[in-house]
Amino acid sequence: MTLKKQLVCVSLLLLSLPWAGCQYLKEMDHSLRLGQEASLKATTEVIAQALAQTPAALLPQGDYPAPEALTAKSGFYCYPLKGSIWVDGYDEEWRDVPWTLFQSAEGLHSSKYRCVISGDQLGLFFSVDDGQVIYNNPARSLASNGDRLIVAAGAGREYVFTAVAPGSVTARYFTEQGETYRESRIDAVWMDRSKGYQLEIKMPLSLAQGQLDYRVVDEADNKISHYGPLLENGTPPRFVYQTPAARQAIMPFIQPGLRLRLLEPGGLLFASAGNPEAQGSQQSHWLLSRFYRALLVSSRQDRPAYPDGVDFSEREEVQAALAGQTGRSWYRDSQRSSHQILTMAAPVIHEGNPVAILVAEQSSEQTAGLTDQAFSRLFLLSFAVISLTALGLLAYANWLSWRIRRLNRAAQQALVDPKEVVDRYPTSFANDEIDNLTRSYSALMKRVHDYTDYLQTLARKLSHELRTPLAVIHSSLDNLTNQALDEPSRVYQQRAKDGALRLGSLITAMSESRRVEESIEQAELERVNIAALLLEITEAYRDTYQQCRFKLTGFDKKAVAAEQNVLMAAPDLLVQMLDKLVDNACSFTPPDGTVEIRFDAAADEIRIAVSNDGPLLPEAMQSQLFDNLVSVRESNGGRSHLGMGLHIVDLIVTFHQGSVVAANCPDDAGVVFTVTLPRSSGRA
Amino acid sequence: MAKRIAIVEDEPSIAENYRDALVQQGYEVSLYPDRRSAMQAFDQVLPDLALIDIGLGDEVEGGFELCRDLRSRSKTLPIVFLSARESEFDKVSGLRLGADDYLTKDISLPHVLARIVALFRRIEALTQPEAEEEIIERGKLTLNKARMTVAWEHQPLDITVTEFWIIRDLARYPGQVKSRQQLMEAANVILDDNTITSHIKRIRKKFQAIDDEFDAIKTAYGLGYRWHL
Repeated sequence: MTLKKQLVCVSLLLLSLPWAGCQYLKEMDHSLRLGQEASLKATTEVIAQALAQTPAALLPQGDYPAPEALTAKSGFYCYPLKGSIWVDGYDEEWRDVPWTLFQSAEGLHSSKYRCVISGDQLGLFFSVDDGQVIYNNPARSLASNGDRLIVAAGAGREYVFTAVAPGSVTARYFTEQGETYRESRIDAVWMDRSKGYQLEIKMPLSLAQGQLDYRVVDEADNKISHYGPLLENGTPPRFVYQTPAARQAIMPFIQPGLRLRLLEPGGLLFASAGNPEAQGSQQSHWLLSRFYRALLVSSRQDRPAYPDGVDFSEREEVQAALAGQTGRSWYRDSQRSSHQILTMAAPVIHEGNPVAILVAEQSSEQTAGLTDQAFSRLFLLSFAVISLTALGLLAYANWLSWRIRRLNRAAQQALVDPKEVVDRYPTSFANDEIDNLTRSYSALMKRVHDYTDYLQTLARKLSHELRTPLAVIHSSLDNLTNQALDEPSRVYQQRAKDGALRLGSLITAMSESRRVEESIEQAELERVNIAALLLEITEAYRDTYQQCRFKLTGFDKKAVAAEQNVLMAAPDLLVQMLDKLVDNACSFTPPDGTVEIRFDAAADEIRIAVSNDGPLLPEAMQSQLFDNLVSVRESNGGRSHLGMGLHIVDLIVTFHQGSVVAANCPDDAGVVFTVTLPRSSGRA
Repeated sequence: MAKRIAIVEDEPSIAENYRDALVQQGYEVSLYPDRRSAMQAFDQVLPDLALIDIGLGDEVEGGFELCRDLRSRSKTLPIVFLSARESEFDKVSGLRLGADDYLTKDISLPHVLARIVALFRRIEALTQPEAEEEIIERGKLTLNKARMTVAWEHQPLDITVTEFWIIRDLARYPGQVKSRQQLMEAANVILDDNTITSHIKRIRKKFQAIDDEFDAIKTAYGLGYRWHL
């Protein structure tokens, strides 16, 4: 992994910044919610107390039975209807009004109804299942035979609807004396339908007298059965509907983002005003807003959905309120999953009795809008900070890695070409560790270079220094030759001479590379037919190295003069190079081994490969093979290797702008040295 | 009358060894350890031959100075450099200054003697009538063995004794390949192959200065050289 990637990884830690921000936002959101709850609770309680001062407005008009006289949990609920009621026995105008279902305990009978208020008119629409509709026989009685439906109002009044035939029916009631009266203010139409009938009724609201219910009387097989929500001789429950007066009572308390509802003590809604959603709150970008809510909402998915309907009695907060406490609940908005609704319920207590329950509802958006804006600011801010820091880190990493790369390049260059490097070590003005490292490196390389230099000149200096004492020995021995010596002294003198000669040739060899460098300086390129040169020189090698077999391959011996075999080169140097390669090859070749010289003329370069059987190159030293004074293989001839031969090869190849590579043969049978000489030598 | 040879050499052992050897050959030898003493002596009388080391005591290039000085006094005085330095640069500098030969110190005494004899003979030959001269002619090449002179298309070449011997050895049997070893022996020098190569190169250049087309000295790769007619 590069330094840059590492730093990018480290900079990912910066992402903890927005995470921490989100945690903080969640905290903030939580405390804001608590604040919202507290303030809504206070508001609710204050409004409830205010409403308790004017209880009349909360109660339906007309006679109103004392609460304790009613069954707490039930109520006959009537929905408001827009538009007027048209009594025709069909329910076109009722379509939006929810049905209320009734089913008898045995499941034998079922009926359903709709109840609406339109102005001061009360509308009822019944749909009764009846396998066999038996009509009223007016001959027997007006209202007490046949299938009939009884609507019970307050003050014990029961209206009986029975039809002699489908169409308009008359509402009748019985007095306590058992007389039958008709109530002409009630319009009703009876319609048959398959397996039952339906009945549409329109009556003035005042006739209900605060209570309402119904039961069905079914006459079948000479048996009369009563069923319905209202039992025979039962008291009808309170008739509940949304009154404009109650609405007027709560209107003054409405404020944006607050919905107030009044429930009668049974938990049924009778007034509602306001909107829990605050309008026109400043929204941030929808994407951010979505993202933020998704972030917060994840922890609130378990909240119950906001229940629709008019019966609030099952709600937790309402039950708390019924018990005299202020209750609180959070609901999930079923339409907008990211929104929540806070509901607060408080009893309105008049003269010690709860006359109503006030429910205040507020959307979580009230506070979410605030945190949302905080979030978008946080988001933008941390985005800017992260980008800036990441960019800074990246730039810093680039700079660092650039410096290290530069150092690395210099170090590699030092390996390739130690002479060039010493003065070219990169320096910078940053006085830091890398700079120190660079300086140490530079110093180290300089020292290594000096040492190498010293080693390389040592041979030359030595040979120079040794030459004078050697000359003394030589000349002394030569002079001794002319003296009268006895036989043993002659022998010793001869041995001393031989020794001195060998010393001389050694010294000569030691300074060989220097002389090659000199001859390279003076070398001139000329057109050389490499193939012809190889042909000629291989013959010479066959004479010189009798212990090896030579094989020259790679070109057509009949087409030696071909133009492609010609190269601009310094022939003497090439021969010297080949001498060294062949000498090297022969010295490692076992007796009767083969030295192969392969010639290969390519379009833009000429390759000469000298390969031999014998020991392989050790992996470790291959790169240093062509350095001065390096000898890496075990020779078989016992001759000393000063390690200069291949260095000279390298010098000559470099002069020709070529390259030389040493490698083990693919079959590991030996070693191959490949010299590549480009045709387009810049020196030509 | 014995020839007088001046040896200017700061290493007494070598100087004395050379002196002993040369005295034995009948030369009169005087030794000078540095340039100053040598110059004082040369002010009195010039020797017949001067054998000069390049580095003289503290003067790293004292021998060159001395050579220049001597050459200004006498155009014909044979001057031989004898030095431990073997770089081409020093050789070329020495020969440019007008020295007749440049020997490295690993040369053996007999070889030194042979060269000195050869130099004297050349000097003598130059003063003698031409009739007695042994002349080899190979095409455009004229070789005067006694005078140790070489001419190409009758234009004389300015060559050293070593070069003369190499040319003669090659030209004597045209077509025959002479190895570097053989050429060394002919030139009475012990040199490495490389020096022979640079000698050959220098010889070729000298011929080419007269004749651009010169290519009589052929390289037999890996073997040596041959004279090509």
